[in-house]
Amino acid sequence: MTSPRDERPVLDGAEKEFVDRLARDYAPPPMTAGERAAFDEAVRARLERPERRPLLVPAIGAAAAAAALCFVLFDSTGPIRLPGEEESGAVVASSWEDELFLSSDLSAEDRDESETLPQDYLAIAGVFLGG
Amino acid sequence: MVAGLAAVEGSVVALDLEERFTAFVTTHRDRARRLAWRLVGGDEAAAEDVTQEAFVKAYRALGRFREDSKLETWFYRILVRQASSHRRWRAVRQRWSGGSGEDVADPAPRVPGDPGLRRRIAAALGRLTGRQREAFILVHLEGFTVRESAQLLGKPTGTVKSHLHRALRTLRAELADLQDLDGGRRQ
Repeated sequence: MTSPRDERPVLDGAEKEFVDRLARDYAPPPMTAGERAAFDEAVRARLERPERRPLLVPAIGAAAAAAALCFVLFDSTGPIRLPGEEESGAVVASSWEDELFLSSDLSAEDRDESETLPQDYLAIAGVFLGG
Repeated sequence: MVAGLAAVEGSVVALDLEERFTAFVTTHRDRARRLAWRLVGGDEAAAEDVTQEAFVKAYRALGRFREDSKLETWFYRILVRQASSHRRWRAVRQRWSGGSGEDVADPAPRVPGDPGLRRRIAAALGRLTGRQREAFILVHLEGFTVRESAQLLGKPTGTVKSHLHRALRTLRAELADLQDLDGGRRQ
C-alpha cells in the first residue's frame, strides 16, 4: 500500500519527538502467539455464523417506513427527506458498504460526523434505546 | 463430468480464497488490531470486535478483489468505519445511560507503561473531531501516508493535511507537559 513517492507531513524536531512519544505510549501490547491463535479462531467462528444484516433490514425498513409515515401525517409542508439528506435530492445508497467502496466523498466541506449516527443506526437506536 | 469438473474447479477456487484470506489475516492482523485499539480509545475488547468484524467483511468481499492491495485499502476503510461506528454507539449509550459522555475507554490495565498517561492521551485524542483523530492516528501513529489516509477516509489529501495540522496543534497544547518532560530529558 505504501509507495516511496507518497508524501508524508514534515515535522520539526520537537513535533517528531512528541509524535514518537504518543506512538510509543499509546499502543496496545504486542499480540502473543496464543492471542493470535485465539483471534484467528474467533474470526473463523464469526465466518461460520449467518450474516446478521439481512435480519436487520426488515426492522430498519419498518422503522424508516414508520418515520416517513409520521412525517407525511404530521408535516406535509415540504418534500420528504431523510435526516442528513441534502436539498439537492441526493440518492441515498442502499448499502453503506457499497457507498463506502464505490464512492469517495471528495467534497471540500468536511463535516465532523463523529457524534452523528448513520441513518440505519439511528433507526436501531430508536428501537432499542427508546429514543 | 462437466458438473464434476466445475465442482473441482469450485473447490480449487475456494481453496485459493481460503489461502488468500489466511495470508491476508496473517499479514494484517497485528497492525489492524493496533489501529483499531487506537481508534476506539484503548478498549481491547472493542478493538478485537472491530478488527474481527472487518476481517469477516474482507472475507466476504475477497472474490471481488483480484489484487490484495485493493482489498487492503478496502479493508482498512472498513476498519476505520467500524471503529467510528463503535465510538458513536458508545457515545449514544453513555448519553442515554446518563454517563459523562467523555469518550475514553478503559485504560487497558495489562498494557505495560503508565496507565494515567495512556488515559490522558486517549482523552486528548477523544476531544479531537472524528476526522482529525482518524487522520492523526493513521498518519502519525500508524505510518500511513497522507495519500493512503486520504483514500481510507474518502477525503482529499489537502483536507487530511489540514486535519493533521489542527490535530497536532491541539494535542501539543493539551499535552504540553509531555513535551516539557521530553525537553528536560534532552537537557
